[in-house]
Amino acid sequence: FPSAVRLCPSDTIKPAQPATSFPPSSNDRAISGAKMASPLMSALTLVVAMVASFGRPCRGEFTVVVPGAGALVDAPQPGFSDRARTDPAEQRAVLEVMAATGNGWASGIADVCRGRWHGIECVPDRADVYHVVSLSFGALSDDTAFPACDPARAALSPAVLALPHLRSLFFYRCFTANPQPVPAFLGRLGPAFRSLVLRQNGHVGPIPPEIGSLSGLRVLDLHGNHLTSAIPATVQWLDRLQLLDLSYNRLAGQVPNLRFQQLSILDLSHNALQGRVPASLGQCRSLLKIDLSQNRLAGTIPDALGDLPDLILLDLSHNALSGPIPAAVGRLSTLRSLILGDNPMQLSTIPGDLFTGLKALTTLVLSGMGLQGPLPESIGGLSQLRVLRLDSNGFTGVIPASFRRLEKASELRVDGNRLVGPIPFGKQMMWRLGKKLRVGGNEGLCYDAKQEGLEGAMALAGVADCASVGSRTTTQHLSWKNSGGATATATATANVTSSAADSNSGRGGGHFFLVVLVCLQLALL
Amino acid sequence: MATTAAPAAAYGTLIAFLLVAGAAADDGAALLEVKKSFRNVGNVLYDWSGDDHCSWRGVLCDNVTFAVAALNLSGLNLEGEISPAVGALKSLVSIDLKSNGLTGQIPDEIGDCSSIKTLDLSFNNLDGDIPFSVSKLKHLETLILKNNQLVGAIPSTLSQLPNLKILDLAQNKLSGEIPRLIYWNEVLQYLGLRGNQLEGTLSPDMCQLTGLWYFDVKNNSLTGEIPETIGNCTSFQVLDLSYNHLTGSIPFNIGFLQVATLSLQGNKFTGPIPSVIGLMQALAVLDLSYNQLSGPIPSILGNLSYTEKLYMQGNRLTGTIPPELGNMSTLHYLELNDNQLTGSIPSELGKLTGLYDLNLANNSLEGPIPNNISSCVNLNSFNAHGNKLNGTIPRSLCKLESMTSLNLSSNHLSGPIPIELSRINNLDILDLSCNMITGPIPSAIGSLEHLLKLNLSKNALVGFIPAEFGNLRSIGEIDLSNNHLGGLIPQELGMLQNLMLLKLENNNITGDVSSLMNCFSLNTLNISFNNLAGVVPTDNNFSRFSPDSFLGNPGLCGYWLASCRSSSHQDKRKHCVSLSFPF
Repeated sequence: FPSAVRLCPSDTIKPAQPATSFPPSSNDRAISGAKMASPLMSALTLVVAMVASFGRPCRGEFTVVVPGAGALVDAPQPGFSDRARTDPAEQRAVLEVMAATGNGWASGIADVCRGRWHGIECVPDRADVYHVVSLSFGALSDDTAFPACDPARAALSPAVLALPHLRSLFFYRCFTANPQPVPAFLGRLGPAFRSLVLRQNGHVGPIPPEIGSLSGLRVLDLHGNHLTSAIPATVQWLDRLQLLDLSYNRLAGQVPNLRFQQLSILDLSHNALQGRVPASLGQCRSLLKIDLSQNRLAGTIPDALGDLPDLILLDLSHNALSGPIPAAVGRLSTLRSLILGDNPMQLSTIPGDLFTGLKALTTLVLSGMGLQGPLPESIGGLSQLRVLRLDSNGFTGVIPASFRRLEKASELRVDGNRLVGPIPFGKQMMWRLGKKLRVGGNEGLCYDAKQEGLEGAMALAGVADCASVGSRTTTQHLSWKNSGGATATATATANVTSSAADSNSGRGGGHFFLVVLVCLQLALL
Repeated sequence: MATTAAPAAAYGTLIAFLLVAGAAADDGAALLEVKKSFRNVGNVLYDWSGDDHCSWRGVLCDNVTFAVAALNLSGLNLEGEISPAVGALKSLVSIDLKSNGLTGQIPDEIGDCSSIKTLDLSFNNLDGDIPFSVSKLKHLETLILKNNQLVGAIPSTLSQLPNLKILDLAQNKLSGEIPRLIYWNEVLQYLGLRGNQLEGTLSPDMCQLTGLWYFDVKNNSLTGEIPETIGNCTSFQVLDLSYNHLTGSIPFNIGFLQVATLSLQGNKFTGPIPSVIGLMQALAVLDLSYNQLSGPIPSILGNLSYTEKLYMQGNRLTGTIPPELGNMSTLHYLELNDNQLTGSIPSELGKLTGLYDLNLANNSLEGPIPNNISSCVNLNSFNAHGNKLNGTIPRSLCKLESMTSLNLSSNHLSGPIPIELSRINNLDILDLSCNMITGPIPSAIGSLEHLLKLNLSKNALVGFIPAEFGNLRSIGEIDLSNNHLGGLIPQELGMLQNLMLLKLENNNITGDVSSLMNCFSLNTLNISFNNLAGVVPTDNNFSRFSPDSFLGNPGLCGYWLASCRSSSHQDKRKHCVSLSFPF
């Protein structure tokens, strides 16, 4: 049962002093600590009165309500404790897990929680007994010296089930030469368990449905294995997930209907998933990133994705999605990267105002989608845009004059379309973009040779001078009439005119000035 | 079946071989294209010709396929640009072009090097954005672009690099926010963003995943507070948030970290120093300087037994210096200057036998300088300028044989200059100015042969300038002004060939100034308001000094003075303002 204790730290706080205090505010750790305790804990208030100084005896005291025995004391720990005493059953379990990974040497460790072994994290309880909360394996880097695995014979030992306080398991490039399934017994890990990371371990077979029993799971990361079959339906029970990364596997079947309120990251890219992008994702309101690229998804992009208030990155590229791009996408005002390239949306056009609301967009990739019709005018309003790839489509008409406003663009590709008319960019933009402006493969595009300073601009190699292609442009017009249809041609022609007028406005101004001069002279006479 | 299979296999091998050979030959052509866009290659890439590109300088090939696996051209003074042809080297695992003079943009084609694990283009003059195509390098583990001229935002799409472990973009001109998606990477170990123009706040997501051990955003324009979630960053070893515009208090949760380096200096943090920092026992460097921190120094910091550098200067700290700091047995640097500390200097500091640098300047410390300071046998610099210290200068300071700088100026110290100071052989700087020191200048001071600056001004010294000052061969500045010194300017001062500044004003010095004629380096001279007599010489360029240097010496006449008798005698005044003497 919980009890209040008064702590009176002495002049020098001893290492491993239990229960210094809880953080004064309700932070993540305090909450998780509370959740680990009995349900009664939730009724308790954590009273913390952390007075200025630890210094003098019983002046710098603070009252802490400590949860009942068995719960962990989740407070800052001094680093190098000589007093740590690990729960004996957990000590045995850790040594067993170590041995199974090929780290038999670890049997010589007298106390795994003493001395801050890399890859082993412990937290004490009230009785000053230490419990293992996190185990990490694999050669991540020279600076993070987790115990390495012997890839030929490493295995994940069921001894992890004897660690009731375990929150996190991390295995990286561990079982690569000893292919094995993700063990089903992991589903029996306790309610404290929050993070399962099995990256690039060479795991084979399906994801065990037992994973769905890990009700406290926040992070499920099975990236870069050889997992097959469908994602088990039980994954839908993991409603506290914040990160779900199953990318770079061979998963088939459909994307499950996830409705996770706290899900921030969804990465199922590089699999063989089929079916549609589920509309339920629109209910995962915390989503920051959706990456479903490099799958076999079909159907249209659901309108519901437009409801995600914090989405930053949406990558649905390299699938078999069909058009049109829904107008709802235009509501994603926090979106920075929209990557839809290499989906065969044949015969789709993009509404001119689709991008008006995407104020934060920095990267827009619509390459290789078979898009048709005019380039959307609204792209020119994307003031943060740095990367624009519209190449390898069937866009017609002119490059809208509004594209001149893309002052931050560093990369702009419209090559491989059927664009016509003058390239509207000034010399400053041309030189800034340099080789990263790609306009090739648009036979009807030309540049205004009268504009100074464009000689030698990289992007203009092979592009004709507008003055010399007047006749060719006409031919181009005729050819669209045959393929594209009357309306498209009309729009395009109108655009050419407006754009041309725009670029001549300087000279127009000059004419006006002359007229005024003449008028003045006449008046004087 | 078997009879048909064998030739098929043979053909297969042959075709594979031809493909490989073809690819390898293409690599040679691609390398020559890469060479073409470099300048300044004459000396360093002269062997880049002929068929065997695998033997060319900096080219490493796969043993089996002969495809180029690594390109290491670092530090060859290469100029020019990185050619788009680099994208044709499909088998490249590593590109290292660091420390050259490359200009232009990083080509998009770098994204075609689909096997690449390490890309190091640091220390060049590359400009433009980080190309989008870098986000396609799915095997990339190390991306080092530091010390270039890169602009634009850090692309959110870098979060799509599943193997990225080291991201070092320091010392560029990157702007915008740090994309919070970067933090949602299980394997990212190292995030180096110092010295850019990054804005926005530290995302609460920064501790979502706990692999990161190195987090450095020093010298940017970040605002807002340290997120409470900082406590989840338990794998951090280096946390450097210094020189930004961060506000708020240092959160309690920082105590969950076991960092070796905690650098929060040069921000606008307010509130007290949380005591919980005393539990961060792995700290080797704790820098909280130049913030607006207030309240006392927590005595529990004395528990930090592995800390070597403790910087708290330039805050609004009050209270006394906790004697517990004397327990920080590995401390080398203790800087508490420019605060509002009171009380006396605790004698426990004498236990810090490893201390190199002790700076207590510009506080309100009182009482005597404890004798025990002399136990800090490795002390190199001791600065107690601008306090209210009283008593005498302890003779025991002479035990500090390593000391090169001693500044006790602007205090209330009295008594004589202990002759023992002359035993601190390595002393470069001795500043005892602006105190109430009495008695004569010990002639033994002249034996401090390394002394560069000597300031004894604004005291109550009597007697005369020791002739032994002629032995101060290195000395550049001597200030003895505003004392009661008499006697002559010793002839021996003429031997001080490095002397640039000499201030003797407001004393009772007699005789003439001829001995200074040979101090050819002298460019600042003030001997005004003494009792000097005779003629100011004009030869040896002595006329470089303005009349102001000689004012107030009734017996002194010079070419600019109308009469040798006409000169007013002003009051000698002392201004012991609490300003740092420019030593």
